Amino acid sequence: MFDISQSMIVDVDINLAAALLMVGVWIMTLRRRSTGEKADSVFLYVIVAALIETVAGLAVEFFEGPVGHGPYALAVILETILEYSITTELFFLLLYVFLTMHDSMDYLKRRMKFYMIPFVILTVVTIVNMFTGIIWYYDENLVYNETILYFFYDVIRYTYLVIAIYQYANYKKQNGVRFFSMWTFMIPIMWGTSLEWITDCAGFTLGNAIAVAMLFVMSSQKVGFTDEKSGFYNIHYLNMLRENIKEGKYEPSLVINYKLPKGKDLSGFFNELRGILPDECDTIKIDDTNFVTVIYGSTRGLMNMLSDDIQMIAEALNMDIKYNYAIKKKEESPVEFFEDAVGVK
Amino acid sequence: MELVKITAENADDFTEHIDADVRCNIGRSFFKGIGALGDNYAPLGAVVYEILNYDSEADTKCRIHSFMAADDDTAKALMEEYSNAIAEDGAIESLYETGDENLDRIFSSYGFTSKKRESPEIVVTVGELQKVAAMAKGKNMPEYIQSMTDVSLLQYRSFLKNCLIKGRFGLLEDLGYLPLAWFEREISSCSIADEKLDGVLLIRRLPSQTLVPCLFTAFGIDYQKNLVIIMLRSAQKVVEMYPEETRVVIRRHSPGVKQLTDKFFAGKKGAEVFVGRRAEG
Repeated sequence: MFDISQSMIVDVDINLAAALLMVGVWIMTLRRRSTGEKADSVFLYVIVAALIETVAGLAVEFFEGPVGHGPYALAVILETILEYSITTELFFLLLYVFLTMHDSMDYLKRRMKFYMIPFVILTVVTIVNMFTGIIWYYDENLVYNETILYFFYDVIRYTYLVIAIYQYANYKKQNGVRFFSMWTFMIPIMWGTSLEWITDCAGFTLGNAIAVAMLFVMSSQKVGFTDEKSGFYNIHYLNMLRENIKEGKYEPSLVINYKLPKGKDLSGFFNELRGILPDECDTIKIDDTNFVTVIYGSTRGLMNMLSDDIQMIAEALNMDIKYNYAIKKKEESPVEFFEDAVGVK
Repeated sequence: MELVKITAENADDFTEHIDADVRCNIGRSFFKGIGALGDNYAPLGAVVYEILNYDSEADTKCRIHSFMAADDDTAKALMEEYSNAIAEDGAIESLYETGDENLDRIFSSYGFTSKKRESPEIVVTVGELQKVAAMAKGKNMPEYIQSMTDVSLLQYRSFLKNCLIKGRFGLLEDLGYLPLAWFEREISSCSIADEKLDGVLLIRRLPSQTLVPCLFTAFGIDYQKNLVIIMLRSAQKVVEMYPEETRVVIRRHSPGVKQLTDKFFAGKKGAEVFVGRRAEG
């Protein structure tokens, strides 16, 4: 039925590898427990878009030219799905990066109109193109061709990627970013794009699949460091944090140790504690009854407020919560302070 | 002569020696006062000061906010007691800022050195604020910009903690100790995202009816835009609620605030004041 050329074999192999990779990432994401962050829900859309892209990319290989396979309509539909899934993936990628940085639905809602405009334009153009071929078209031999407008189409959708990089860079300058690096995503994309330019094979699809898999690996790292019951970090994170402090990445200024009662349902306490702690701090479960909060930045007047709040929670939940705290002294090194305050060496 | 600590309970005994706008601060965590009493416990003078950088890694300093003495002996006694008291707090430097030349001379005689310079404080009237408020006219205020009256205690405390951790205190050394009721909630404004505050302009009304913006800060992705909208909302409310002659004292304590005041009150300058200091300990 099909003429199988050398380049087609390569493209089918590449697309197949990418599709299998995406199926694997998709299944693992569904099986993985959530960290409860808003970005988690968007991540699934990124994967589904990438999966559709690879499957459509694989399928279209069997229906497009150079000597004509057809049916024509099916080839057009598959190529449309492929192109549109790239646009959709880039759109959701921007939302994912945004929520990973800001974890705020309100911030996103305030920008959504702006973000939606290119998406709506690209959707309309994609539909119009199916009937007119103003962006790309198949000739009589079912050979894929792009018009000059394709360049602008690409520019518009890749603007999402540029905005995502800009936001990441901007955020990173002002805040620490954990378990995420835009470059871990960008390097496979750039590798795939270069491969496609140089060899004319479906390198972008593979590069993109690897990039999404890297996103999955990065977000899974956080799951591995999170305690399922409390939602706070687990003891493995404590060790990593100590290494990071040694490397000078973080400088703790205040450590609070909590001793919680045995055999009680602590879920209420965990929820309340999350509500009173400032944004930039880490709470780590040492064991079932011992937790520690590490705070970075200025501590002036902070413990006064936190003491009141912890006591308020203890009274409200009728729980015997013991706690003590240590504030870093000028002469102490961050590592020395951290190890003494947390009680690890 | 007897020297006493001035507390919230006895502060009103010193009405002639401490201005009401300074006196209202007595009782705050880092504001302290020493009073001198003569025969029949008649007040002879008082000094009120604030401890700066308390509870932090930075060096502790003291700022004298008010000093008045009936005679040289009282001034000397107050100064000695002041030096002893701040030594206990570990202060390494004393500071003051005054427009009163006589007071500057008194401080000089106790070892302070001073320079005359433009005060970081500018005084505008509500009448002058009208042109700022006019900028918001006809524009829809976003729903997430609200009055502090609608803010819960939990939201307020959460925001304060984020301010403290980022070292943003505005004019308030004891920000973490101040209740929401300390501010004029109706004219103070905030921005809210995900039910959390991410920007505020907190305004205090002094007994003299002077309004003082104390904390003006915002976090998050839209912080620059929100700061402007928050300011416009507060300006609108102040213009609505206060007579034109009401004074608003803006202390230009950061480059950001200075930039804003230069923009909205171009040409407005602070008064000439003596800024003095003395090493302690």
